[in-house]
Amino acid sequence: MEFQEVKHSIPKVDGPGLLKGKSAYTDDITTDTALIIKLLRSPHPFARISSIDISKALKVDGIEGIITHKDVPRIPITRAGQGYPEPSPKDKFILDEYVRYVGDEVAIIAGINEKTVQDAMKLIEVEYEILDPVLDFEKAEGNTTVIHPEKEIYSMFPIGLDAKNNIACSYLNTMIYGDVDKAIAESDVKIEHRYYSQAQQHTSLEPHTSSAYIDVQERLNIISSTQNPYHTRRIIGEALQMPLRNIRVVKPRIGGGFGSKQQIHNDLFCALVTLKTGKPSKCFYTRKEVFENTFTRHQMRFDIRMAADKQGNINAIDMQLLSNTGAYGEHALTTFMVAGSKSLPLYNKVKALRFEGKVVYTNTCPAGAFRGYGAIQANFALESAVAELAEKLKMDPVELRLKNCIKEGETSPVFKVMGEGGEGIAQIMESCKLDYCIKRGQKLIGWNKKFPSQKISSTKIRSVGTAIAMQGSGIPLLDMGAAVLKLNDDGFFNLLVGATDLGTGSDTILSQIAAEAIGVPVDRIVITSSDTDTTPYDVGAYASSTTFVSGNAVRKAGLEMREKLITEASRVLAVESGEDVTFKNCIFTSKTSDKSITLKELSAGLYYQYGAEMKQLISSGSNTSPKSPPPFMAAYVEIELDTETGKIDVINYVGVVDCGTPINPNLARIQAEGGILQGIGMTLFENVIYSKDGRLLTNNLMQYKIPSRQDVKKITVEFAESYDPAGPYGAKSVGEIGIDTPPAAIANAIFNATGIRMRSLPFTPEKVLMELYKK
Amino acid sequence: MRFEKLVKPGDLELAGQILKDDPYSVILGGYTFLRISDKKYSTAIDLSDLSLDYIKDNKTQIEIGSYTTLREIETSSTINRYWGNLLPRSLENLVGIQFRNNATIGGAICCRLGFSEIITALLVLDCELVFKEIGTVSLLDYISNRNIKHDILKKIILQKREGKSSYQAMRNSSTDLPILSVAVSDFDKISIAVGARPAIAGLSEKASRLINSDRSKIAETAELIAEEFNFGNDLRSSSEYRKKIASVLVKHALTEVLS
Amino acid sequence: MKITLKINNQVYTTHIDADESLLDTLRKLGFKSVKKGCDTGTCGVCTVLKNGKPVLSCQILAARAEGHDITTVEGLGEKADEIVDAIVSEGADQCGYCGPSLVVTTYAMKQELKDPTIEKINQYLSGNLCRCSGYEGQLRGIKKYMGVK
Repeated sequence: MEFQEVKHSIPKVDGPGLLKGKSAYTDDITTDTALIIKLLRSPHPFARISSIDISKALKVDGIEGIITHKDVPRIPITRAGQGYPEPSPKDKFILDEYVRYVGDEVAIIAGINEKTVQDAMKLIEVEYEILDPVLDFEKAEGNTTVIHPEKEIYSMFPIGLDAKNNIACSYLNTMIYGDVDKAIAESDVKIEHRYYSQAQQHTSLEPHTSSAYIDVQERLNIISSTQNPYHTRRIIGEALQMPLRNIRVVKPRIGGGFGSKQQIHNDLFCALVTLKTGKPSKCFYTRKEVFENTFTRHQMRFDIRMAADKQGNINAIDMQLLSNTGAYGEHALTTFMVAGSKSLPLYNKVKALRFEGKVVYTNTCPAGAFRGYGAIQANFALESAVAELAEKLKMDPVELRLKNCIKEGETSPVFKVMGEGGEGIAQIMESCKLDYCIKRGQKLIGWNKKFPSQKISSTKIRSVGTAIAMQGSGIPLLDMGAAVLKLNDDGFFNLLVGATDLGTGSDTILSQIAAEAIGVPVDRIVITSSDTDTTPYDVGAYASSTTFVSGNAVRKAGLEMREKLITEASRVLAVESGEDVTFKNCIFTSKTSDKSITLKELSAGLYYQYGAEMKQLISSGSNTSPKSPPPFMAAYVEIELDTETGKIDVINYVGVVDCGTPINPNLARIQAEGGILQGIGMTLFENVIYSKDGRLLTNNLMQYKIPSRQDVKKITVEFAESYDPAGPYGAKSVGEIGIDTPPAAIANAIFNATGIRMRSLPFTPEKVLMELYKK
Repeated sequence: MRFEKLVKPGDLELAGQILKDDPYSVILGGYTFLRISDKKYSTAIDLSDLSLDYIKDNKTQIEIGSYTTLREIETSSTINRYWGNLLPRSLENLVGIQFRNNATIGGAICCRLGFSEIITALLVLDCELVFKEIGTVSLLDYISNRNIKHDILKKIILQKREGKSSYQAMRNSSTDLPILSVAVSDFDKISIAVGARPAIAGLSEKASRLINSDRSKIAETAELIAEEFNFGNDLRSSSEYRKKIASVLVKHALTEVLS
Repeated sequence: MKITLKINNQVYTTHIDADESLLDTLRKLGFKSVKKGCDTGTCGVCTVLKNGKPVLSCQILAARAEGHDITTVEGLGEKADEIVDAIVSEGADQCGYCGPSLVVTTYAMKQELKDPTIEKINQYLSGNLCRCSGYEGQLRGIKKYMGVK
């Protein structure tokens, strides 16, 4: 399909400004005179504060306020930053007498500068009644330690919350299709294995930052590195019992999110301090706080049974899941459900399917949203299991996948049963080029020559591995985004969207969609985003929603604007109907009369010259969709494994992606490449280690290693030609799909090199070598 | 770390006096790893004005001023002329160029950090340290004797020697600190150093003796290394893994040097 | 204490704490291109040039920067344009938080590397972490700027 503006790689609208260092992020644009906020944090994984004395600290010169649990409203909230009613348990108080993990907040300290606050912090005297923590998530359920003994916590609808047994939510007896036990029993070949994935840290380079001030209308203004300003506003209102009309939340540029900034982080502390002192305040987390006190990926354990007939038709999948939500239950249920709903439909020809399990509390860092969101964990387990099944069937794993994977025009029973937090919606794959992706990737990596492995020296083996993945495009009928377009004199448009660009380039691609829909060059679009006062509602940037959900809203607003423009031009050109008028190259021309007017002239006339017909042209669009068309990807990795050290080098990682129309192919490519590297990081480098007494030891960038640019030799991304009729100009999402495959693809490559099956992430050289020795 | 006062003495004597007078004083090197510590000092002593940033090629030795940055050493053609890529290879994976443009050799040595790779490499050279008060000390003595402190390192002296050397390290990601590091040199005899165990590097005696008595016994020497040293556990690795890797790296280093 | 700094060829006199980092001082003076990303000198987003060489401004005491030429991306002016174009034309700027430091390091690399190769580029820039891009797009752009095929 031919497009003028979309499907073109233009630079990001904010790119040059950001690279040249323009003030843009929360800490850059907020006043240097703001009070600095730091948190006194718990040194214990589980304790009750028996006394807290702030009198000495208050005397420190320059201290403007110290807030403890005695000073804050006791209202249980969730910091998840999701839709409403929230699917996460309301199990968090701004401050509480219980501290539930090392780093849980004890007191909020505000002062004129960082040193003053640090000095005061040392003078706060806290006595703790130390309690036995639960640090191992496999021992959480039914433990004698109850992490949430408070009576106020609740869930807004049934999610299986059972706090006295340390269960944040459970999901049982629902996702059952056919008779799994029977289908397995009757199958020729079966496997049964357990897999573990770790609590990866997002590590966006901008630490979580928030700031607050009171404006001239005496309203609370929050500037925050948030992925969802509207949810943030709602949660602040709820936690502080304030009418939402008195709160404004603005997201400026943010330095990466990956899900971690979907949750509320330091916004409530800033709000409290500014409301208490009347002064601007700011809270900029240290990297240690980012590691210890924001959120992580949910650590998960999967038990999978899978069975097939001799011909390799997969008959049944049984997936049992245990997930660790840490001290609080943000995204406990929904990451859990996505683990099933964004993995199991890949193999839609099964006769029977079961997915169930529980999410438990432990006294560790709270888990939350993270790109991949359950899907990457499940993909590791499922795609490893498929490879194990192929091995047992003596079948090429590529062939097994081609035989069983979902194809265009098909559906899966999972879609209807499982949504995010509740029932899902049935949908048919109107675009699915997964089979093409599998075949194309197979060629790009040179599978037929390289599978399973080649010995290249006495100590080095090269091998290949593969995995396939799917994600979603927003949450059907829960996510809504809106857009407003306004015509200005000189013939340009303001595009106002609530959508939230975290560095992904959504401001740019939404501008491209607006330009395409109106029919003007993209430089005529000036975008303003993510301000609860001035931009329309949007759920925010999560669940791979922005291109699909917000993009369709922008498209609707653009088409409406085009119609309005043609109506006005028809009047000015004095032609009967809009059908007589063409709009091209910013000129309206009457087909019949040959008269024309430029967009610039029309816009000036509407502002200044048309007398009674003068007006402001505004259009808007809202969008929610009953569909969430999945993007698909086939991944192939070639590794080199050192049998003396266990070290794995990624030689090439090939991803062939079906994301529908890439609105901006360059930006889509970077999404896929960036996701792949983040997934490789989780697979090979990003080890999470706690001390025996519950302290996170991998709590800085020296101990928690994210990949550097020397760590992966090559990443190759290609797009399949694909068009989804539900998406704006055929687009589906691309933000998350890239991250899903590396754990399984690399595990499978390790097996193909050595015969060793790695079932616990990450695959450090030590783990690999020790397995080699065992063999 | 935090401190109240920064002084920049104009001569070494004055610097020494401040260090003596103030027990809560500290000498700054590049302020890289020192900065990360939680300690509080009263006075930080900056030696920038003492012209300690140099690499001098004397007839029989190379002198490196204690304020010479690691990056200067890494890219010095003078140094690389004598020991091939031994020193650059022990430096090039340390965090990033920005870090090494700031970190000094004096700081790297005086911090005596277990994971220090440059110490591992220097151990197999004839390396002496020249301090203001205590004078000349061998690197091995300095790192083995924790009592030597509160003195000012002026320079290090490396004797020029003919022969081959090799540096090997195991790390998972490329800019990570090492899980283990090994340096081997063969001047008139073979020296083997093993660092990041995670304890600070040490020089092998037993295994070195074996390979020096019979240069064909590479495999046996490599195995003996695992027995000779103690290996510990930390975030990066278990002792068991370090033991296995030590043999592998020593085998590679010896093979390179003896080929 | 009072110090005088030469930043981007201009002289600034300012009061600082003895243990204040150049990073904090630069930000206070309005050079917001210099970012704070970690506490351990590991991420690279605070990189500036000291006498033309990339250094971590978090590890340089402001008081020790006296007498040296400090350059931030603001000071590169038009000299940054070619690098910026190379990166944004690949869409590899993403969240931009590591961007200014990547630009100044790349600028220094061009001066320093005699015969650049992909390996040398990746090694030179390995202290500049990026969590968004996966590095491939940045490499595509920077290769062009460095004249490497």
